[in-house]
Amino acid sequence: MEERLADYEDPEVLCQRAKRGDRDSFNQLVYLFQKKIFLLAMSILRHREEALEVVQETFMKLYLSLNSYQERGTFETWLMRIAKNVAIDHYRKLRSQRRWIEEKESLSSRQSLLVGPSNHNSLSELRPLVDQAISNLAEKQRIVFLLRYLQGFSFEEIACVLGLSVGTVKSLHFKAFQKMKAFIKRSLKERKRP
Amino acid sequence: MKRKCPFSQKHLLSYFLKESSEEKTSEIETHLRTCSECQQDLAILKAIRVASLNIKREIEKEVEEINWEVMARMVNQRIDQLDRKPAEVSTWRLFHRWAVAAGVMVGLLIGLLSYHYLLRPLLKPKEEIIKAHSFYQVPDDFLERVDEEMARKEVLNYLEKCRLVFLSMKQATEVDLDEAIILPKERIQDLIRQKRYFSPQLDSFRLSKARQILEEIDTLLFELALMNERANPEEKKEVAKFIEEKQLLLKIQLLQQELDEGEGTT
Repeated sequence: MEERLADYEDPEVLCQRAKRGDRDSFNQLVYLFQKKIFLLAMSILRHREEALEVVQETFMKLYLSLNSYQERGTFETWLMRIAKNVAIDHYRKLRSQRRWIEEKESLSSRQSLLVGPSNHNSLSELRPLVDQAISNLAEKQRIVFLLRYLQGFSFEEIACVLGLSVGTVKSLHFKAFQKMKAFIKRSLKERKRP
Repeated sequence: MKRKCPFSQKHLLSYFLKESSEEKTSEIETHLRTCSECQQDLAILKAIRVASLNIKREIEKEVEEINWEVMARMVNQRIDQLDRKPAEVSTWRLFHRWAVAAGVMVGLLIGLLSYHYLLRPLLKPKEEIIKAHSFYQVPDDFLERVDEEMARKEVLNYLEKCRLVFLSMKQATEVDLDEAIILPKERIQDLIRQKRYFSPQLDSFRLSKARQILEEIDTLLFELALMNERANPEEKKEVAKFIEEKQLLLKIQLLQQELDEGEGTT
């Protein structure tokens, strides 16, 4: 497999071959991108099983829409955009169920902070608040933040995947941090109240 | 209420994201030494970054735990199913069409057979019973024959009445030619009316051979109707002459015989 990967490692070439019905080339694409798609889906969904489902669904969509691929951007950006859309669809389906779970988690984490043995804000104590703060972000802000910090994408890559300008992505990233900081600060103040 | 630090509001995040100019960066760093609020905010921002990195590590750990060979095989299997699906659908559609057509044909066949073997035998005796036991069962030409018989009787009745009128008039002329006679005007008018009633039936009921004699009778009756009730001797002679010349009484008699003979055979 590794030898074959070396032969066809250029995704653009693999995509062209897959377009002509070469299933081996398509399989190479699966091996090349499945982890990356999983990371992206996991960043958005934070749910392992759902993220794995997103990986499968993304490759199915890719297989069905191979012929519509036009070489305007890179193949990887196009594939990541498909994956992002599939993940967002899954996220929206799960949102109502998830909101209930998050609200429950939020309540328990706040309670644990209030009754915690130490009164200083260690990083481990802040972690549940960061999780909540990420969940509270608007959809685009959250995706920009997650792609930036969990995926290590550059602003340009995020802009390509989301189909936005780099300026808009930077602005969303800035607002995401502001909102998260405000949320955590407010939560800590509530903790200090008698 | 404690006022919020303007640095924290405006510049701290830019500093943290390394988007501030060098000049601004050194200004913020100086400020940070004295401002506890900004120190706390910066600590929160750092915590966010560290927590994010932790989340990233957790996700990466998840990636390592997954068997990607199996995952790729699962993707392949699902794509194989995608490839097979259209063929299955078309086969099913083809089968579906044939099934519908066959169903319709079988339905028609069952319908025809059930009509032939079940419904017809049920209906047939009913029709036969009606035919056998009906009091109204008559031959097709029954009504026609009834009408013809009635017309024949009517003609016979008319002829007899005419014969009696003409005979009485002939006898009157034979007794005394010079004396006037009184014409039975009312009877003559009745006979003219009666003839008008059955006249249309003469052609349709095979009585056309009587038509000529009846026309001659009708002419004479009209003549008589135009005369005065008390006919003078000359008129009397003309009437007698007409009856004689045309041999009306004989013809009436012959026609009566013929119609009588035809009774029951018409």
